[in-house]
Amino acid sequence: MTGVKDFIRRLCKNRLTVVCLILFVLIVLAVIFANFIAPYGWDEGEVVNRYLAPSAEHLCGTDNYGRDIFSRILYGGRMSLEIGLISAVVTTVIGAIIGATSAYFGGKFDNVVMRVLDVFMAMPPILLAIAIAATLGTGMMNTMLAVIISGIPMKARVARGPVLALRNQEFVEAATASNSSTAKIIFKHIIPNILAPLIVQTTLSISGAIVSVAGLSFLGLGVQPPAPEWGAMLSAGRSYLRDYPWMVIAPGIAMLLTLFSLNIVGDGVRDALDPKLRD
Amino acid sequence: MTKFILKRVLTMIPVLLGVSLLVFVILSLAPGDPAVIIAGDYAEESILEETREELGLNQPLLLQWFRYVKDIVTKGDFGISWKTGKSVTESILERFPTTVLVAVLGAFFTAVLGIGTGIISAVKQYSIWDNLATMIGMIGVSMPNFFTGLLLVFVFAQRLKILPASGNSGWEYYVLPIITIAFSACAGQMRMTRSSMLEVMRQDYIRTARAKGQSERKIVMHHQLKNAMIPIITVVGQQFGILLGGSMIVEQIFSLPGVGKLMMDSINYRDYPMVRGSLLLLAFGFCTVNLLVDIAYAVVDPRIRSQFAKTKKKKAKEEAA
Amino acid sequence: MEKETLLEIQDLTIQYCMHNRTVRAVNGVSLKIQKGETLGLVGETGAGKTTIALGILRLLQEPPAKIAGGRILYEGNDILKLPHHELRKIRGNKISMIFQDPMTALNPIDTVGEQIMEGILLHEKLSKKDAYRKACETLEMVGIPAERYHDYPHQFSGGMKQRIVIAMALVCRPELLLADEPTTALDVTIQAQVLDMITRIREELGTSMLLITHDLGVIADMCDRVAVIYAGRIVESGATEQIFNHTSHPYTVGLFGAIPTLDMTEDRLVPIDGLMPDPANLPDGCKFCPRCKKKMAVCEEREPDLSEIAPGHLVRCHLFAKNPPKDPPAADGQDSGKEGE
Repeated sequence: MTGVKDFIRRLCKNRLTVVCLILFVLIVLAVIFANFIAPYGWDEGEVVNRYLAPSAEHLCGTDNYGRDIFSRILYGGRMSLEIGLISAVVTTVIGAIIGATSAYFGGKFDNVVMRVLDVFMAMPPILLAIAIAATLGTGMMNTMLAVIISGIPMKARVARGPVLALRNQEFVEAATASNSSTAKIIFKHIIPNILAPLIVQTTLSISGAIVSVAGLSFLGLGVQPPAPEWGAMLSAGRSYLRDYPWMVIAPGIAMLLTLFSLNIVGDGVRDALDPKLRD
Repeated sequence: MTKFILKRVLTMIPVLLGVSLLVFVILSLAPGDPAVIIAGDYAEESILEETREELGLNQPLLLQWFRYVKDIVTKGDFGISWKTGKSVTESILERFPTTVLVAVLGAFFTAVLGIGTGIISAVKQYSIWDNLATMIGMIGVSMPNFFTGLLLVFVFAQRLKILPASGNSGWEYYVLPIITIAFSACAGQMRMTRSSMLEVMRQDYIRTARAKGQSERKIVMHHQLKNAMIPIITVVGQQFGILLGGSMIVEQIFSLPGVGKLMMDSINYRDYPMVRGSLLLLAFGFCTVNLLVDIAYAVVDPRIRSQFAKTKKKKAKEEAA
Repeated sequence: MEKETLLEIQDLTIQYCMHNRTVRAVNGVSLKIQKGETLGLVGETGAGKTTIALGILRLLQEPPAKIAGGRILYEGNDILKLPHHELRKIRGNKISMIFQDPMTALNPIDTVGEQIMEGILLHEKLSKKDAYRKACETLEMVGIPAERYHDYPHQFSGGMKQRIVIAMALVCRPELLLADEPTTALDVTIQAQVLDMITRIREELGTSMLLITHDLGVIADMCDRVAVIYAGRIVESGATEQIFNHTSHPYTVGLFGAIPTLDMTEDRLVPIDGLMPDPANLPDGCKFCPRCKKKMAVCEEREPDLSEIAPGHLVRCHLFAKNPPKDPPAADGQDSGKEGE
C-alpha cells in the first residue's frame, strides 16, 4: 500500500501532471456518461438544422445532417478511448508475452523470433496497419486488430530487454535450480519484475493507438460514418472546412485535449515509476 | 568501414525478402477474387479461369511470391496494374519523386529545428525557453497530423489565402505539406534531443573536460552533442518512418500525387499489385534510411566500429582453428 | 621551516540543497597545501572529501551544490571569486584533477591522444604538430606506447585508462594535482604501480598534491601531512608522523583500530561502530560523539574547536581543549594503548 501511496505522491509532484490528470478524468467521465450529458443523440438531427454555427443550443455547432457535433464528440470519445485502451493493453500484453518468452528461452528460438520481428519492424507501423486494414476491411474490430498487430513487434522488443537481464539474475537461477516450473518462474518472478515498465508502456501507447485508429478512419480504412469516431468526423468535415470549420476544429480540439492530457499523464507515470528519478 | 557498410547492406537482403513475403501474404488474404476484379463482375467463368491461368493465380502462394521477387530482382518488374493494365514500376517511379521530396525536406526541417530547439532547451534547462519549447513540443506530439494539416489549410489557404491548399504546380504547394509532417516529428525529435543532452550532461567525462579548462561552448558542441548524437540519430531514423507514414495522410489532404496517394487510391480500387509495389517501395525507403542511420552510428561511435572488427577477428580465429 | 603556501582553503562550507532538505557536506574546512608537499585527506565515504576537491576547481554541479562560504586562495586570489575565463586558465593548467573512476572519466568517442592534446591546445601556444608530439611524450611518460595515441578509451584496461587520466592531468605540468582516490577503482596489483608512477612523475615535475583516500597505507607511503575529515569537518591534522605516532582524536584512533603494526601497506580501514550521522541532520555538539567511546557530557552540547597539541598537530576534541572540562579521562591512554599493541 505504501508503494501505491508513494506512487501517487510522486505523480502529484508536478503541477501540470495534476492538471492534466484532472482534465483526463473529466474527459473520461464525460465520455462514460455521454448518455446523460450529451444534449442530443449521436445520430439524431434534422436537415433543417444543418450547418448551424456554435451557440448555446449547439455548443459545437451542427454538421451537414444537422446532428449536434458536441454530442457526437462525446459519443465518439467513448469509442476512441475504448479502442485506444483496449488496443494499448492487448498490444502491450501480447508483445510482452512474445518478448518475454523469446528472451526467456533464448537461443535459436529467440533468434528466429527476433528475425521475424525485424521483418515486421522494417515497415513503418502505420504502413503495416494500412496494409492489414486494407485486407481485413473496415469497421471498429478490424481497425483495432490492424493497430494491435502493427504495434506488437515494437512492444515485444521493449519487453525483451529487461527479461534478458532478469533471466541471468540470481533469484531466477535459484528458482530454476529448485526445480520450479517454467510457467511458475515466468508468472511469479519475471512478470512482477517487468510490471512497472509494462504499465508505463501501456500508458504511453494509449494515445498512439487512438491516433492510429483515427488516422486509419481519416483515410477511410477504419471506423466508417455515420459512427461518430473522431478521425472519421474530421474526414467527413474536410469538405466543409471553408464554410463550416467547426465541423473539423471541434473534434480536432477534443482529440488534442485528450491526447495532450494523456501524454502528460503518461510521462508523469513514467517518471513516478522510474527508480532512477527517486529522491 | 567499407566492410562494415557491406556487411550491413548484406543483412538488409533477408529483411527485404521477409518484408516482400509479409506484404505478399497479407494482401493475398484480401477479400475478393482477383480474376473478378480484373475481368469485371459479369465476366464468364471461362474468361475468369483464363485470367487466373495468365496471372499464375492457381499456383501455390509461395511459388507466386518467388516469381514476383524474381521479376523484381531480374527485371525491376513489380507486375501490372489490375486497374489500368500499366506497369506498376512505371506508375510508382512517376510518383516517387514527390514522396521523396516531401519526406526528405520534412526530415531535414525536423532534424534542424528539432535538434536545434532540443539543444537550447537542454542547455538552458528550466528557463522560459525550455518551458515554452517543452510545452509546444508536447502539443506537437499530441496533435494528429491530419488535424494539423486541415488547420493549416483552413488558416493559410482558405482564410489568409497566401498558400495553395492542393495541387503540385510549384514550390509553394509543398510548404503546407512539409510543415504538417514536420510539426509532430519535430516535437518528438526535440524531446529526444533534450533528454539525451541532459543525460550526457551528467556524465563524468563532461566534468573531465571542464576540469581541463575547456570552454562551455566547446563542451556543449563537441563533448556533449557528439555523444548525445547516438540516440538522436536513432530518432531521426524512426521519425523518417513516421514521415513516410505521414506522407499517406498529407498526400491525401493536399492532393499531392505521391506514392502514398497512389497506394490509397489503389486500395480503393482493390488494385493489389499497385498496393503491393507501393508498400514495398516505401518499406525499402525506410530500410535504406535505417541503413544510413546505422552507418552514421559507426561514424560517430568508435565502439560500434570496433565491435565489427572484433567479430571479424573472432571469425578469423575460428577459421584458423 | 615554513615553506611557501600554494593553496589555502579557509572556512570552506558547501551544501547540497535538495527540494526539502539541505545536506551539509563540508562545514568550515580550512586546509593549507605547501609547495612541493603532498597532503593526504582521509575519511569515510560521504565525509565530504570529493566535494572539497571538486569545490577547489568549482566543478560541483550547481545547483544542487552550493558553496555557502569560505575562500580558496590560490596565488593570493580567491578561486571562488574568479570570473569564468580566469578560472578556465587555472583548470587543467595550474591545478588539475585525477578522478576516481577512470572507466567513466574519458570521453568514449574521442581517441585518448585527442583528449590529452585538448588540454595542451587550451593552455599552451603550440602548433598542432608540437602539441601532438607533446601528447605522445606524455603517453610515454605514463608508460603507454605513443603509437596508441589513436586508440579509443574502450580499447584500454582500467589501469591503462587511469594512466591516461593521469597523463591528461599532468600534461600541462600543473603546480597542484588533486588526486581523488586515484586507485580505488583498480585491481590491488595495479594500484601499487599507478601510485608509484604518480610519485615518480610528481617528483620529476615538482608538483604538489592533495591526495584523497581512505587507505591509511597509501597515506603512510605518500603523504607529508595528513588531514582527517569526519562529517564535513577536519577533526585532526598534522604531519604524517604526528598522526601515525601520536594519534589523538578518538575517530582517528578508531580508523587505526585493528591495525597491529605501523607497516600497514596492505591494510584497509576497519569500520567503527555505528554510522556517520545523516549530513542533512547533523548533531549540535561534536559530530562524532554518537559513536565516540570517550563521550562526555560537554560533547553533546558544544562542538569543540581545533586545538594545537603539538606544533602543527591540530585536534578537534574536548579531550584536548586548552581549558579541558572537569573529568577528562587520561588523554595519553589512547596513544599508549595504540602503541602498546
